[in-house]
Amino acid sequence: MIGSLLYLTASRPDILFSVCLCARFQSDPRENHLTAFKRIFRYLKGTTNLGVLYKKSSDYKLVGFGDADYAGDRIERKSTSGNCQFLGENLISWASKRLATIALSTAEAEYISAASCCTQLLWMKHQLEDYQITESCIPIYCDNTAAICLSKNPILHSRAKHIEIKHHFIRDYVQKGVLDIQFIDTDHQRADIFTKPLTVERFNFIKKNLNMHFVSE
Amino acid sequence: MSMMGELKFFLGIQINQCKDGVYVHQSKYTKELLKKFKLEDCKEMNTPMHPTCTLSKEDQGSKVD
Repeated sequence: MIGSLLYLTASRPDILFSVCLCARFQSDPRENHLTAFKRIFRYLKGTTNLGVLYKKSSDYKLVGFGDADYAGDRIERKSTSGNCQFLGENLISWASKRLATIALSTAEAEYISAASCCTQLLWMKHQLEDYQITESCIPIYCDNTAAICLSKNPILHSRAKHIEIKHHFIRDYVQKGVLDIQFIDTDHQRADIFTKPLTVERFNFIKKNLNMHFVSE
Repeated sequence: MSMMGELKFFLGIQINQCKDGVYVHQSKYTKELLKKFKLEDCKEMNTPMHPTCTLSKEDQGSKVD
């Protein structure tokens, strides 16, 4: 059941978070998990012909969004990170992942999430160079000011000194000017949909921002 | 690709090319899934998960697998 839904996430970023959450209980599924699986299908029933729209444009500007939900996982208190990347106004990549380590603060969770968004963006940057498109100062939108400060200089040392080195490589790229971390308010954070279950209004708002539209047959 | 005509279907993913852009969707696959799990007549929902939904491992309830 979950495997077939995972394949569907190839064109449906809206169900990515819920499918990934359900997938964690695959080894020992209980009745209430099954109810949650079924709810995804009930949602799909109403939105069968939803798809991602790619508009024609000559705008090749990479933009990344990185968000995190602090301690969203009830059992191990691990945070969930979600990120998505746009080329121009078209959505090209999306991800939702439960972090491997337990974050001690919201800023730390957001910081790790921005770092994983950064790796994806760097890969895309290299790919685009093959098409003679060079990107510089790629913006990553993050809704946590503490995490942005952390990427610019090593402040808050007592609270941030335990963060693993691998997450700090983003700092290097910010200093080189390859990436630029910018603030965006939570309402306009498009990666929110990949980190937690949302209300109907918010869910539909982000879906629209991700360029998801109904396809007329 | 041009020899085979317009790209419409690829690895189960449907591609609609129209005036305002390219739509990438899997409606056929979704319909097949609903049929496979016999959920074609279920009630529709607005979101895939309840906003306050919390799933945990220790939940009581009978095993379903």
